[in-house]
Amino acid sequence: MQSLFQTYLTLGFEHIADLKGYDHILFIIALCAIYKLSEWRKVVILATAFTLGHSITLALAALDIIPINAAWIEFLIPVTILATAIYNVVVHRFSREMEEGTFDRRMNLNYFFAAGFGLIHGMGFSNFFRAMVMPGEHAQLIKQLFAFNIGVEMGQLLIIACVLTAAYIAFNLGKIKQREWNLFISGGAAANALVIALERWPG
Amino acid sequence: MTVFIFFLFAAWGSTHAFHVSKAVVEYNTSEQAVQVSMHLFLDDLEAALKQTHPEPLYLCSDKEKPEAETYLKEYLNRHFRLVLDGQSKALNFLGKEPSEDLQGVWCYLEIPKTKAPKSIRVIHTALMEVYSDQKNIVHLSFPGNREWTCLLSKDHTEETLTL
Repeated sequence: MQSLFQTYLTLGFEHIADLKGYDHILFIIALCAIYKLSEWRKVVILATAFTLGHSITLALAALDIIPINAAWIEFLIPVTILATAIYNVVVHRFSREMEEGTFDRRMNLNYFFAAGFGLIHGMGFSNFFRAMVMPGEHAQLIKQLFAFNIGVEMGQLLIIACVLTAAYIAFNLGKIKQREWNLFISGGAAANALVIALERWPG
Repeated sequence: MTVFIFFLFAAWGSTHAFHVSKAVVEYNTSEQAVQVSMHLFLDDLEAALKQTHPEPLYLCSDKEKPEAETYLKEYLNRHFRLVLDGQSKALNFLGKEPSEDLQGVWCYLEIPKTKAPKSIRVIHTALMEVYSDQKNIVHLSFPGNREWTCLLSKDHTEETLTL
C-alpha cells in the first residue's frame, strides 16, 4: 500500500519511460544528441526547462482552464522532435565556425525552445493524466499533479543518463566523432518523428 | 544505420493508448457503509463484456441493451472484491453514469450496514484479461483522514491494508 504521492510519482515515471508511447523518450534523446557526458549539467537544465513547460500546460489542462484538441497535440509532439533534430544538425554545422559567445546565445535559445516544446508535450500528458486523476478535493489534484511531474522528471533524468552514457562509450571506445554521433542520433530521431507525424496527420 | 534505428522504432508502433481504471473506496460514517465509485473506459468495458455477451451492449448510450447492466454487475462481481476483516462482502450495484467526456462510465457500488473495518483486502482484476498492461488504481479513504492508494496490475492483483 502506498501513498497517493508515491502512486502518481510511479505513474508519471512509467508514462514517460513507456516504450509503447515512446514519443517523449524520442524528444529527450533528440535533446541530448549534441552533448557530451561532461556537459550533463546543461542537459539537466534543458530537461528542467522542458519540465517547466509541460508542468504549466498539464496543470492548466487538468484544471480545465485550457481545452485540448488531442488530435492536434498528438500531431505536434513528433513535430517538436523533428524540429529539435533539425536544429541539432544546423547548430552543429555552424558552431565550428562561430565564436564561443555566439554559440552560448544559441544555447539560451535552446532552453527557450525546450520550455516552449514542453508546453505541447504537457497537453499530451494531460490526456493520460485525466484518465487516471483521482476525483476529490482540489488540494489532492495539485498533489497528484506535483507527484506526476516529479515522476516524469525522474524518468527524463534516467533517459538522459542512458543517452549520455551511450555517447561517452561511442566517443571513447568507439572513437566516434561528436559530429557523427549527432548526425546519427538526430537523423534517426528525425526519420522516426516524421513517420509518427504523418501517421497522426490531423483531419 | 539510421534506417536500422528507424525500423527499430517503427516496429514498436506509436499508439499512445493507456489502459487505466480508477476507483475510490470510502467509508461513510453517517451511513455506516463502504462506498465505491469506479471509473472504467467504455471501449475497454465493451471489449471485456464481449467475452460473455458477443453482441455490443452500447453501454451509456441511447442504444444501450436492456440486459447491459446485468452483464456489467456480473462482471464487476467477478473482478472486484472487498474483504473486510477477513470476510468477503457482497457489493450492491447502486447505479452508473457516463463520465463528463462520455468516454467512460462511473459505477457506484456499496457494502451497506457494516462497521468500519480494521483490515481491508482489495482484489481488482477488471480488464486485466483484456489488456496485459491494464492498471487499476484504487484510492482508499477511511475515517480519521487515513488515505492510501494502490496500483494494481496483472502481476499484482490485490493489496491488504490494516487500518
